[in-house]
Amino acid sequence: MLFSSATFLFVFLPVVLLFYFLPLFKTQPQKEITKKNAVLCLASLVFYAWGEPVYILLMLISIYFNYNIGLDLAALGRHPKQRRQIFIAAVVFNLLVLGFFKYYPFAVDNLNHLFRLEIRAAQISLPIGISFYTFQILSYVIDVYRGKCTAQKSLLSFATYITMFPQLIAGPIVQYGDIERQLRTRKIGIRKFAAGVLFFVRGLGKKVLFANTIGAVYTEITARDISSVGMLTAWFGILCYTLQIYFDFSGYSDMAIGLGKMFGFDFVQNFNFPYTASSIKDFWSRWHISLSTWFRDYVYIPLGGNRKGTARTIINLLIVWSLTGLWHGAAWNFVAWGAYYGILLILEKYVFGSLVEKLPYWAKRVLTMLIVIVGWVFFSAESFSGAAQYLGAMVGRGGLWDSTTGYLLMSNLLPFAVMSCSALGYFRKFPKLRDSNIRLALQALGYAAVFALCVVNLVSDTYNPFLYFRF
Amino acid sequence: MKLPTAKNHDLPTSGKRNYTTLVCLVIAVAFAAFLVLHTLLFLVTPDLELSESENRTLQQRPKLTLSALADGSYMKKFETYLTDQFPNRDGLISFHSFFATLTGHREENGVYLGRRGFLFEKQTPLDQDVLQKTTDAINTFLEREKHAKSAMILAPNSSYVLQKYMPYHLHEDDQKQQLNIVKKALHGDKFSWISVLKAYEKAEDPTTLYYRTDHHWTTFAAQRAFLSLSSKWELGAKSSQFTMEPVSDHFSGTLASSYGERKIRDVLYVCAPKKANGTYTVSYPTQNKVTASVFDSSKLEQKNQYEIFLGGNFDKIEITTTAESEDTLLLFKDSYANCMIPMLTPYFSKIVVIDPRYFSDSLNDVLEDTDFTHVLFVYNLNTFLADKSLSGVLAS
Repeated sequence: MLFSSATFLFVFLPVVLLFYFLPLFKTQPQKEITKKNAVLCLASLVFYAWGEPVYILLMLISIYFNYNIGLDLAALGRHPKQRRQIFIAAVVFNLLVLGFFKYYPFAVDNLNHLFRLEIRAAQISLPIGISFYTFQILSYVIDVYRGKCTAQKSLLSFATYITMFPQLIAGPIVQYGDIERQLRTRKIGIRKFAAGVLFFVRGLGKKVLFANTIGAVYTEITARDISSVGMLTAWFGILCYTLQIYFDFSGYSDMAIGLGKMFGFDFVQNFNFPYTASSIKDFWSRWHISLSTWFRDYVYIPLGGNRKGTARTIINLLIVWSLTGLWHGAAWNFVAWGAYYGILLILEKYVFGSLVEKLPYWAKRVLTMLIVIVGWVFFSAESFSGAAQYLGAMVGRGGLWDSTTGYLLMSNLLPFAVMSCSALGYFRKFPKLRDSNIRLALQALGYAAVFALCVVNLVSDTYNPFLYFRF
Repeated sequence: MKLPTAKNHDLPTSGKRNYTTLVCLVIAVAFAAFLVLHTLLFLVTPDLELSESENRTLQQRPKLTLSALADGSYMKKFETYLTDQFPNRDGLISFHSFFATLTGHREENGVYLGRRGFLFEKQTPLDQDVLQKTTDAINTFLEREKHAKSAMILAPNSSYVLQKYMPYHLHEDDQKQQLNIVKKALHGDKFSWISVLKAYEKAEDPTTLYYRTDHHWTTFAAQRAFLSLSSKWELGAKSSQFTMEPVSDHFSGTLASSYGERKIRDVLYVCAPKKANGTYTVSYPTQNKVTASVFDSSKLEQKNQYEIFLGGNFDKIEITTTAESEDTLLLFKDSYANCMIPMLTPYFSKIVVIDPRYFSDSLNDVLEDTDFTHVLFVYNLNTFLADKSLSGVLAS
């Protein structure tokens, strides 16, 4: 189920909120949180099953297995050797499950290519959210093993953490340590709920009004014969994609954070105006923060981080960034995209860093954005050669412009300008009105309008004329 | 290291002060009210069967079965049910269209909104392989039927002819050039290429050549092309021999359906020979139907009024006339030809109309049946470039 669907907005969410907040049956005050967790857990299972009626079994098995691993790790405190074995087995198991469902066809494809084999990969559809929830499970297992957290004794609390529907399918990746306490006790109230509503509506607007609208431009351009796409069109297209991916992803995170707040949870912030970054490092401290933190905490630092000399640091960075790329999708262009950032970060750290520092602030930002935009070409392409062809169009292989350039620019200028300003954070302090009552009223109206427009868009997206008399 | 959590003060809205509890209450209640209000409206509005503007049936409440749950089809249908039966759905859709236009958007479902209310169909890109196959098949066919006079009427699209009305001066591929490519690819001893663009030049007002809401050329445009053909084939037709009559002033065609309902309506004209030279019969062999008219005025009652011409598109139509002529015509066509066919009736004693997209019989049988003196192709450039059925039919 997507947050931006009628089923979620008008059936699922109201029903869940109703059960979560209404005292439908009497509980002792200290049991109230257990009841709320149970409602949330059950709702999350329905939410997941709605989109993946079969793979929910996989998730349930995974939860039960790792819950027991946690208990075992806690019980084996005095047997470090056994403990270590169980820990390694658990990590391998979780990675194998992820690997099988996400990378099996990719692996078979590459083996076939390398050894000229003709193994036919079985058609496996990717279970929704598996990349996200596997990483959450891993963070739990690793933290319990390291002794950073105690094992969760309640299966319900553990299942609530893994399945929690607000962040289940698109993040943010919540580390167990960040949420352990909230599973036991959290502040639920009107103030948090209201903040959650605003977060959610903002996220919904980003996704439905911004990302979906501007994304159509790039889709249209890439559907064409790329050799005839002019330079300006290609640049405009990738800029639109740049906006789309940011609003899509950060919109989803905002909705997740907002829903979390409605239920009393505080999730980590996942995006912090990434397009205002002034270096690559800065960009990655603002983009999908929960993922880069995860890789830092569970891969980079365990590998030794930057404490084992320059050569080792470089290797570690390359490993982390290739994995980051691969996490985004089972294809070489994602690996290339990850490695691209790995290499650039190494260069920034050891080669160009001091040179770039001397540049004026605006030049650093422009440079960073250029690197990010070129990165999106690799990210968005269907294949490596597709990315190369698109880059070709961006350097003018299809001419400076084509016959549609003016039209594309003109018909998207206003949305593009508004979205760019928003992504660059120009609306953060807008409107600056002295009278706070008027400001509040305007903001309230704005949010109401955004929500209403989202609904209008969702419904009209289903306008689907059947033209049997087309010819 | 602990990450910052997304706190209330991260809200862009909070400014210096946090919200008061009252404001928070209002926000929460408004949100809940919005969701509840929708549910109430949804429950009180009766489910609709059909969407007229989309010309399709709407999703009804899906049946809950175990197998539908397991394969996920129930969930998909349920979502479609909610959106299809959304309270005031048509109103929301037209508001969306209005709002999108306001933000500068000019395209919906592959249709452009141009100036003066003109809607334009997106152009089909020229695919060299597809075109080669079609033109090869035509050439082989013309070689086989070389005793017959043949001609091709290939009509450009409105997006080229009325380019100055395209949104933001968009110009797509040069259709004049594309027409020339097709022209050069075709040859035959008695083959004539009818230049529709040249025929159009005589039109005082080019906006009369195409509908605003439909992808077809108008009857006026078809008549210009027909007069050109007449002089090539020496049929001796003059425009004064025909009447041009409006039959509907509220025609809203396929482009309007695709783009979303618009207020603009077109006037639909029919053109017929003044001197009704006798009677003729129109037979639809596959449909086992015979009528006495090339017009089906019952179609004016339905949404797609263009079907007044011959009642729509059929695989094969045979028109037998009492014209004082020995000439017989074999016509391959798409729907552009439909409004032109009535003008052809005074000059041929028999016209066999084949629409290759629906034709599945053998063309040989048709050729053995009648010894045609004339062969004509009438197409629109968009359909012609995308067509993959003509080559198969010509070889059958």
